[in-house]
Amino acid sequence: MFSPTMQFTRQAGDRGVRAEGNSHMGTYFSTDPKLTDHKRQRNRLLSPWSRVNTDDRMFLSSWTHSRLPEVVWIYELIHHLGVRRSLDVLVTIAEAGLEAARQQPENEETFLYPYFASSWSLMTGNDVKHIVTQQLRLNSVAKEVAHALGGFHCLYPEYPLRFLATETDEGEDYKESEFISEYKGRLAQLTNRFSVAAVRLHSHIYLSEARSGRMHLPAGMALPDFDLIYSENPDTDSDDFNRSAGMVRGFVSSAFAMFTSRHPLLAAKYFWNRGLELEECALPSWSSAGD
Amino acid sequence: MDENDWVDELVTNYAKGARDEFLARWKVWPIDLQSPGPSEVTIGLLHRQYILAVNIVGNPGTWSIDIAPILLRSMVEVYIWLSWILVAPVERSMKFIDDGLGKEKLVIKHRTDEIEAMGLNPEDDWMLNVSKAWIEDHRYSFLIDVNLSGSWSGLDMRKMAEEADCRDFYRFTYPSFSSTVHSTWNHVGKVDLIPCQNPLHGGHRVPREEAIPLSVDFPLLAAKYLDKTFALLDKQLNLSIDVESTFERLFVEREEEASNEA
Repeated sequence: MFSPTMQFTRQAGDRGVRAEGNSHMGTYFSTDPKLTDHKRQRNRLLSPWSRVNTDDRMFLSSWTHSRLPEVVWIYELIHHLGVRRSLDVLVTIAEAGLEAARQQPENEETFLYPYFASSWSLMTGNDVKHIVTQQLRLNSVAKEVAHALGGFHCLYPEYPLRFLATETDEGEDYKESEFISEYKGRLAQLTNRFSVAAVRLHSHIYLSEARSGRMHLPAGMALPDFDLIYSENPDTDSDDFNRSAGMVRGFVSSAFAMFTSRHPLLAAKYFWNRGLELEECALPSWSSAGD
Repeated sequence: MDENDWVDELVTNYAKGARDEFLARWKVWPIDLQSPGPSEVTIGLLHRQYILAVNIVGNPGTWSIDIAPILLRSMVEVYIWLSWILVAPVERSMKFIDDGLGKEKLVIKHRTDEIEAMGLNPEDDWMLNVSKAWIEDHRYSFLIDVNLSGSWSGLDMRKMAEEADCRDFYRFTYPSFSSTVHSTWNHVGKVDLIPCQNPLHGGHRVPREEAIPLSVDFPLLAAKYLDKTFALLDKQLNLSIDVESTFERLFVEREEEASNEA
C-alpha cells in the first residue's frame, strides 16, 4: 500500500546529504541523475514512483510548508524544557487532548492526531480547552507548558494551541523583539527535515505515541536508535543515524498523510502567512544565494 | 594584462579579428551560380553566426545568465543546422529556403488580416510590400507551400544533431539554453527568483533585486562557437584559410598566460 503522501527519503548509506540548516541548496538528489530508473511512455519519462502509483488522489506534501508548521510547537517544548521533560509534557498534552475529545462525541473520530496543531482547531468548544487545561494543572505541567510556549504564542497569537500559553507565571512577559531572533535560528534549523532538530521533533512524536500505547509495532520490527538521535553530537552522516531518522520521519509522515486526507491545514496556512506580518523578506546577495 | 585590460581588448578588437576571419572564408567560398541556394544558405548562416558572436563579445551587457543563453542557443542552432545541411547541401538548403518562404507567406497573411481589421488598406503597408517583393524575388508566391510544423527540416533539433554527428554538443548546450529562451521554470525559478532568507517565511522565493554579475564565460562561449563553426565549414568545404584564429589569440592564449602566471 502506498501512502497518499509522497515523501522522498534517503536510502541508507546514501552520502548525498544536505548541509545542516540549508534547506534549499544541497547536494542531496533523490533520483538517479542519469534517469536509468525512468521509463519512456510516449513523450514523457515516467519516474519509478509514477509507474507504480496510478492513484489520482495522490498529492505532494512539503515538510516545510505543511508538516513543520503543524508540529513546530513541539520543538519549542523540547528547546525550553529539555528532552526528557518535554516528552513527559507532550504525552500529557496529547492524552489530555484525546480525553477531551472523548468527552465530545461529535469529535471522537476526528481528533486522533494531537501533535498536529490543526487538530486542535477541530475542537472549538470552550469545554475542550477547559478540560485540557484542567488536565495539565492536575499533572502540574500547566505553567511549564505556558512558559515553554509563551514566546511562540506571542508571535503567533492565533495558533490553535494558544490557550495552552495562558497560565504564565506572574511577571513573565514575552516580548516579540526579545524572542524572535533566537526563535528564528531554531526555525531555520527545522526547515531542513534532515537536521538534528527536525529528527528529534519527529522522534518525540514517535515516542509519545509509543508511550500512550497507541502505536502498534509488527513483530520483529527494529526500533529507531533513540540514544543516537538524542546524543549530544550525533554523526548525521552515519547509516545508523539516518536509518533511525528515516523511521521516525516516516512514522510522522504517515500519520500526517492520514490527517491531511481528511482535514484542512489551517494552522500551517496561518503560521507562514503570519511570518510575513512579523518581518519583511530578507534578500540574500546574489553571490551568497547558492551558499 | 589585467582583467579589465583584457575585457577592453575583447570589446574593441574581437570584432575586427572575427571580421577578418569571416571575409577570408567568403573570398574562397564555393559558389555555383546555376544553383546558388546551397552557397547562399551556408554563407548566410555563417554570417549570422559571425554577427551573433561579434555582438555578444562586443556588448558586455549581454554577458549574464539572463541574456547570453538566448543568443548562445541561436548560435548552437546555427551550428547544428549547418552541420546537418552540409551532409546533403543541395536538398537540405532547398528545404531551408522553402520553409522560410512559406513562413514569410504566413507572416503576410496574418499582417494583412490585422491591417484589414483596423480598416486600413494592406496595399499601402510598407512592410507587407517588402515581404511580398522578397518572396516574389525567389519565385511566384502561389507556388510556395506553408509548413505549419515547428521544424523546417521535418526533424526536431535533437534528431538533426544526431544525424549530423553533433549529439554531444546539442545535449551539453541546447536544453539548458532553451530554458532561458522560453523562460521556463528551470530558468525563472533559478535566476529571476531567489530564496528569502528570513526563516519566518518558510523559504519562499522572491524576485531578485540585484543585477547578476557579468561573466567572461559567455563571450568565451560565443567566440568558441564561431571558431567551431569556422572549423566545421573549413573541413566540410575544403577551405584553405590563412588567418589567425581570433578565438585562439584572445581567449586560449590568455587562459594559458593566466595559468602560467598563477
